[in-house]
Amino acid sequence: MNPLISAKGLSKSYGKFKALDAIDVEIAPGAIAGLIGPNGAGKTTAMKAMLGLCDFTGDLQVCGHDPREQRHLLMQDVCFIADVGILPKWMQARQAIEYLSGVHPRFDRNKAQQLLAKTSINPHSRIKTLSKGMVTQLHLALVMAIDVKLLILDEPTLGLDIMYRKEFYDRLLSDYCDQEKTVLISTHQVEEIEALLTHLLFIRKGRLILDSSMDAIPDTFHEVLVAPEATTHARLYNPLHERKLLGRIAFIYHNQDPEVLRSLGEVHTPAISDLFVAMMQGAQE
Amino acid sequence: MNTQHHRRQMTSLIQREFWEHKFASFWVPIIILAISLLVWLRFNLGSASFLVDQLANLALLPAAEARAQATLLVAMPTLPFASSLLIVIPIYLLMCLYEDRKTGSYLFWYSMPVSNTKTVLSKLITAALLMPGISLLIYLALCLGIIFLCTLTLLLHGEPLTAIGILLASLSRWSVQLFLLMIYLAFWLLPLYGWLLLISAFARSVPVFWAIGLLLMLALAERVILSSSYFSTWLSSRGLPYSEIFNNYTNLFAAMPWYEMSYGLLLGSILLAGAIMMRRFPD
Repeated sequence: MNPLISAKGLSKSYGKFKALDAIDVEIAPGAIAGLIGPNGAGKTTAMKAMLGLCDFTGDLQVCGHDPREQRHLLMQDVCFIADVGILPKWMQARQAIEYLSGVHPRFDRNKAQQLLAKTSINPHSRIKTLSKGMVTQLHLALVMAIDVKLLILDEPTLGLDIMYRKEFYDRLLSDYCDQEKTVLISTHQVEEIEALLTHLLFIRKGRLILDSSMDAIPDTFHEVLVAPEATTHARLYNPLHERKLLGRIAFIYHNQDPEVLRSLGEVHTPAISDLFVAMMQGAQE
Repeated sequence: MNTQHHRRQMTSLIQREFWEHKFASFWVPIIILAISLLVWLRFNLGSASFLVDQLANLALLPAAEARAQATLLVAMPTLPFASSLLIVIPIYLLMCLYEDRKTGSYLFWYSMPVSNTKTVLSKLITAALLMPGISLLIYLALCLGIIFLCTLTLLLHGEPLTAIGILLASLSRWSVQLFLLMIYLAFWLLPLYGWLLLISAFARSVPVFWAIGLLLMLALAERVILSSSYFSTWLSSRGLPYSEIFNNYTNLFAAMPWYEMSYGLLLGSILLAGAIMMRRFPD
């Protein structure tokens, strides 16, 4: 199947600062991909390029369109939620529904109204009077009523309390995601979404430093708990990272023979958040 | 994509402009209506006999003179509506695309499947037709309200309603005239509208500075380099249509300067195309 997003040498500079530095990536239909990186790594810039919101160099195709030239066609197939409340403050919830049903050919007004009825939002309230959590609920209700191929979420739960965060991802997973929907989520809170993901992308200083399916992680990355006296030996096998853990040292290895690693200590698959820290710090050295 | 889809999108885009600018496009003319009505009542409520005399006098005048005077009466309340539009429309055009980019909701507008052409055209239609159209309707409501009060007064005093007929005839002629003027101005002022939209699409800050500053600089450059002042002369002649159009309102389109109208339309279209291109990226 053709990839839904395909980038080759995608670059974007602001003056001398390289926000994106020759990114090559392909995201297949049906994937739930996490774009994970620290603040300022280029996550938002990458998403803006994919949405046709900024110019760039290199090749980029999203749903078969060049986002720069065909943004309005692309937007029939793509939805977007960002951390910042992007819904217009003066608008009423019912006006947002009215507007979308006028401009968006794939918007299902009844579905949006049903979804909105499940929340405590009054359709006549203006968006500026809603709490941040309610604005996100409203935005999710609007987006879930649009039948698109690709959903791009930029730190969608930033600044929300845990109740809303959990509800957000539960809804997204249970009511929205199926084989035909592709999702690209950016976050720096990895642990929150790792269970959802089928694909993992780590980005640091505008470069992709990891591009892997979730299924491949247990075969390529290993965490070994090594007794303090064996650490010198363990360091011989080029660990990505080491840290102290309950009196032992946890080493993370990339592409090492599991047999060899088992001789060093207890081997298991690293948590994504530990892998993230390991790769971010590893790349720094 | 069929025509129905395009029409629906355009309607929603214009509706959005109306919601967002409801104060400027609806409440301002409503406030003008309320104030005008209060002023009229203040002057006529206390001395109904004066009003009755005036109306009786109007009915006694020769037909042509009566019509001229009645037209003057119904034309007078146009002034506050027109003046408010003169302020509201340029500010709206100058700020609309700028604010779409500068407020936090730019990501929302840009993530809609709406082409830049449609977005810019929806703003143009809002400024050139919707805002003046609403003002025109509210002006009509005001005039009809006042004529209704005149009718009541005459009836209460047992006077004939001849003057009311004259007033209504003048109002209908004048309203058609205003409607035609609105259409006329939508075309005549296209270069100005295009210019304001272009600046709105392009300015990174203080669009009003760019809109006026660039024109002044062009005029100044011409004065210094070519020691001529064609540009500034042209600008001032272009601001509003010739006074002949107002005077000769019985035949608005016959008095139209075709040549200037057509190159104005061409220039306006070029500026609009510029605005559409400039809207491509928000940053």
